[in-house]
Amino acid sequence: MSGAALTGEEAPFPQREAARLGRMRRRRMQSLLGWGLCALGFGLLAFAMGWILLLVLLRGISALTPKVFLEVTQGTGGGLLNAIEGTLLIGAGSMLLAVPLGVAAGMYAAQFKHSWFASAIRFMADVLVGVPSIVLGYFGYITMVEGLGWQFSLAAACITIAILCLPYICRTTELALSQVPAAMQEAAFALGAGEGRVAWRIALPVAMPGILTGVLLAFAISVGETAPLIYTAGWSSYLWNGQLVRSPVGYLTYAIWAFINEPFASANALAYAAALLVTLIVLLISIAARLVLLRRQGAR
Amino acid sequence: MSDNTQHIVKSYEQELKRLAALITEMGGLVESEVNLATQAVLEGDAELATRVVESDAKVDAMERDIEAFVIRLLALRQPVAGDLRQIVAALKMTGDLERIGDYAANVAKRSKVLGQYTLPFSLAGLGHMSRLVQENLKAIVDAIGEADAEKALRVWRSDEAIDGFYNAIFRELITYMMEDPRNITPCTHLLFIAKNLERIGDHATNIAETVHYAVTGTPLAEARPKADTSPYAVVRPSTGEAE
Amino acid sequence: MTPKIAIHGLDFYYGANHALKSITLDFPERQVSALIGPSGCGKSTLLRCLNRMYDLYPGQHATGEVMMDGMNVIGPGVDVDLLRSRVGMVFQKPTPFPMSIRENIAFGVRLHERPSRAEMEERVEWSLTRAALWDEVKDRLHTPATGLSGGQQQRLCIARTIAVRPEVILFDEPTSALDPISTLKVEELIDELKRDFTIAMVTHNMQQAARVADQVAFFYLGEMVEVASATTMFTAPREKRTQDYITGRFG
Repeated sequence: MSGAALTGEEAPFPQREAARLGRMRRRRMQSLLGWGLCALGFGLLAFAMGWILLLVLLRGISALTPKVFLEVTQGTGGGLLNAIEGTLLIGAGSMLLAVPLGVAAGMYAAQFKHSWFASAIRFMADVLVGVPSIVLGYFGYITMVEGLGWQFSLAAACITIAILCLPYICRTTELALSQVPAAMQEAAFALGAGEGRVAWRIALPVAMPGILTGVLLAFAISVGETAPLIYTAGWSSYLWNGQLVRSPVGYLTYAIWAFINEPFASANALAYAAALLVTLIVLLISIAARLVLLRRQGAR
Repeated sequence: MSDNTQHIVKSYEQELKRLAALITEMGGLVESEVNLATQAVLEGDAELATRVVESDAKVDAMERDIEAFVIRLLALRQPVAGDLRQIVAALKMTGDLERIGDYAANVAKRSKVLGQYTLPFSLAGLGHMSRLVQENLKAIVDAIGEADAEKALRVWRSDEAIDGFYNAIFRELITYMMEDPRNITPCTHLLFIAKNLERIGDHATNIAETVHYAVTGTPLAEARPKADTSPYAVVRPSTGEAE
Repeated sequence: MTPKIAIHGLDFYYGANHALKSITLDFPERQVSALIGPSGCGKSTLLRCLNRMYDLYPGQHATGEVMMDGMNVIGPGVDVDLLRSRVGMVFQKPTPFPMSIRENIAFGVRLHERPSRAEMEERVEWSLTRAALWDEVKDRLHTPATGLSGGQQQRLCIARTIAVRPEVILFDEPTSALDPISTLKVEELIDELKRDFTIAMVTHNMQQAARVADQVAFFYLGEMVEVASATTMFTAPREKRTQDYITGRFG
């Protein structure tokens, strides 16, 4: 502003003024190009997401009858109560296993950043993220379903999904903890607090929104997974019988995978209903995670 | 006064230098004023005396300038250590110098009165005393400019000799007055002139103390050698054997 | 007067970097000692020796004597948590914990004592009053401490520190993140606190050292160049390096 006023009033160097205008034009072009590319990327993504949501919504909404929530699957018809129950059970069970383990590992890695064990945790978590989920499913099949003789079962499914989610929880926990201000922890140490007290009473509460976000996202993954469950949970048209092993369970993603190609309209309808449900659950969880994050920023 | 290391803030450095220059300039002005005033007395030159009285207005103006400058420095720079001592010293010295200027002006005024008399005695004693005072004043003005604590200390010590002269002149003048009442007017003026010169010497020692503290950071603790005994002098009319 | 803390021949190392070189310095009881010097001169490092904050970081170690009531603070076998309850510390940036105002105070107290509910309430009020914050927060003790202003947060940190009832309080540039009025309040507080506590303060603000400290020590390149009363330090320092630094002639 002041620069413009200066050059505008005095402009003692005409060549320099011309160069300045040229530079401004060039910058404006570059800026426009950048904005254009961003808009294009956003448009593509929004289009893809919109299409998927629209498709799922349009086809799913008509299939989403009360029957879906009230009845179990019968052949290629009926409801999805068994699958809804199974999905929630697998999600809850896997979180029950993965959260304590993942948070603990993340806390360790954050607290003792430079120890070899922390590096090992970090490395293994990175590798685990890269393993295709179907390989994990196959691993679960060999070790638990076959090896331990659990057959298709809730236990095998939960453990497999827990392994899948573990690295996400671990890394987000570590990240959230490492963002806790060092000065705050030093202040607690300076009052004479021990390491455990600082970790539990100071660092963990501060990092909690971050950790919670990680857990919610991991939960969303567990709801959306298909491949590992095909190998470990099997499929069941009945409600869960309370057995951890030797009894398969149903789940929503199976319904999508299996019923979409059936030649029956009732089966296709169920697939779309399941797809809508999975999408809605994941969406809800994502929104919840956003809200948690937002609240953290608000608190700062 | 901190050796030769430059201040990081250049404008501050400039201001300190300017303050030192102002004080030295004022010192020079006062020094020449005293020289001219004593010359006016010894040579009976009324023209010189007028010049002294005129230049004293300039000295007074300088004092006000320096005072304002010092107050600004104190407020804006919040000086510490050597800088603080230098700035406060400037404030004190400018006061001493202004007083010296006043005494010089007073001497000059009295010299005009003296010019109307023909003196039946010589002013040799006063001449010696004024030379000593001028030497001391020159030395202390130099000590200010050079931030020389040693020189200041020498000035401080040599004031004793001035006091000695003053005592002698005091007795001498009283004797003249007793000899002939017509001498009373010029001798009274001469007494005040001698007293003024003695006071100038005292202010020079004040400045010496200030310079010493500003440069070294330690005040001159020992009591100054005081040799002015005139407050206790009793001169009785002689019974004829005087001289 | 016997010093509360007597440092003798203290050396400090960040790995191979010799950060403090054979420091000998006394901290008189119930007086404010200010440590001044350019960044990286070792003054903060010295402060961190007094409560062994350096223990938190591998590769840092100290040798020599830091005697407090006959115990070598940096010697082996010292209960560091107990030491830190006796030597409190207030940091540069206000660091309120993510809890209520009351809990911020109670956190430190509970580390070392098991006070009853009534005792705790009393302690909270006492420390907040001493920190000149009580009147401003007494009606919202249960609100998050992060809602306070910067100056209030710093006074809360001071309250939190004195609530543990230390004997010595270390201030590491306590006002460098505060506005001038908050700074004066903290300075006034420090002056008030020295009746009961021995205080060591690191500051970059020379005027602050002049205003608050009884004793001032000047550090340069890991050495203690000069220690003197604040008056002597700011009117007639002995060393040329001190004089050059405090008058702004470094280089």
